[in-house]
Amino acid sequence: PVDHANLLSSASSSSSLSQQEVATKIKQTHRLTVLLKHCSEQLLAEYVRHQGEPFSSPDFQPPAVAVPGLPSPSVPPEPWQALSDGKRLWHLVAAYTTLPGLLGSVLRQQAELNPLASELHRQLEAAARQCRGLAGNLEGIMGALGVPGPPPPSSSLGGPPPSAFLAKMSGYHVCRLHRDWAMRSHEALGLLRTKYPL
Amino acid sequence: LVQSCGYIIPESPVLTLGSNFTALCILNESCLDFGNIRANQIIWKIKNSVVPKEQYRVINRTVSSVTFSDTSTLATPLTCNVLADGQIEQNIYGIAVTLGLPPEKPENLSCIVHQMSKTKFIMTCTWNPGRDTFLATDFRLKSQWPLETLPDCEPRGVNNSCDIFNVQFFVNLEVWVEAKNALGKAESEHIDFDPVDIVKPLPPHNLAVNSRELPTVLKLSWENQITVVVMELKFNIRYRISDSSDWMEVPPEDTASHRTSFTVQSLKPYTKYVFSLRCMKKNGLGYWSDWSEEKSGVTSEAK
Repeated sequence: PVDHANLLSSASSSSSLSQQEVATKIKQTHRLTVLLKHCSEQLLAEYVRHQGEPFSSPDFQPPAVAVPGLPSPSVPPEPWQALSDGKRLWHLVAAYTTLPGLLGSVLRQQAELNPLASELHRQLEAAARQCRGLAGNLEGIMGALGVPGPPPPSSSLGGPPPSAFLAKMSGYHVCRLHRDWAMRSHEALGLLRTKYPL
Repeated sequence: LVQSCGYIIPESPVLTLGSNFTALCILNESCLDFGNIRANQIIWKIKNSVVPKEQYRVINRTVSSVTFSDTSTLATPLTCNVLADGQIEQNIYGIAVTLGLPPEKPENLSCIVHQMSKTKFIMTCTWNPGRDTFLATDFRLKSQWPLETLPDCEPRGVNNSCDIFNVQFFVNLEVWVEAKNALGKAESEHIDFDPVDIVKPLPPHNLAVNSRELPTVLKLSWENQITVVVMELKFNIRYRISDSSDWMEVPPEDTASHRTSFTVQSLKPYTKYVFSLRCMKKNGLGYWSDWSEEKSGVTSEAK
């Protein structure tokens, strides 16, 4: 793979950001992923707390299920780390431009299923905003590195689910995938940060 | 009785104070013959006082104009009247005139993020709105991320500040103010920052003061109200002997790193001290919190 230093120097000369600014943006974005990871874990716990049984039982661990439009970060660690910086960023942007729509759908469902869960609603809204912010930051970094971004998404959870349980289930999967992507992005930006120190 | 025999243009003008202004009174053809009226019989009035004739000009049989070189002398209503049948003055038409000024460029835009609770933050931006415009003037606080425009913030009951409730740390925000009224629009300078760098955190709380074996030290411990995930903190710790009003301060360099406790040294044995502390972002960006609640403690006796 292209040596990242060349990637940075060649790319940032073509973009308006200096190398220092790119490194600053990467550091800022890494801090955002730390916050996102923290909040996504809280969101998943808050979500489960409001769905009743079986969600709230300790041994509730349903198998991961794909959510339409949202890639699962199930790329095993080795191949993920073997990807180039640009390709990893590409995957992250694809996920974080999709997640706001999905989290928005979950918020609408929860506003009906759990109208009084105001803290859950607040966290879902904040999570969607954080994802949009992260997507913007990541696209800024990609632009600075001269890496083309993914096409814009068009995803939400689709029509109303046939049952309350299935609505809760799909919301659970979105929140879990949000947490998984947060961990993946935190790891990826940590790696990027070591490569582009201030 | 003279029916509505004419009209004035412009209809309801909004005029800049100090500018010049011309209005036209246009008589309807139908009335000319019936009332035997001509434009040269027109009398312009502001409220009830007649406008000096030098400011009139008869354009033609049906149109008379009036000109004001400085609109500051104008008032509402401006009316077009005519002496009908020789003696009776009749009103043809009248307009409301609104005087004011275009908005000035809002100045000194600055923002601060207030921490309201562990997870709730409000960003308050303030600016200097400039001179009074004497008109309804709409101020909007505009903001955008590098790739996304965010909803406008509409000030509530004031024209020099606005609160944004959805604060997103670690994403650069560009903010500016737009002022708009009937006479124009003005825009402040744009400022660009990461909201995490303009936070005024809540002060540390649950402060506890505990004595130690050593009679010259007291150990402080507390809880920080802002999560370390958002920012690391530095502190100022101040203390005084309980019956004194003179505060002493722990050297800032000793409390320049993130912590939840500190041992104050070089105290007098068996003495009651009062402590308070405040915090801010470790790298010095942002604002000091208010001082915490005061807590007292007594050093142990010298052996």
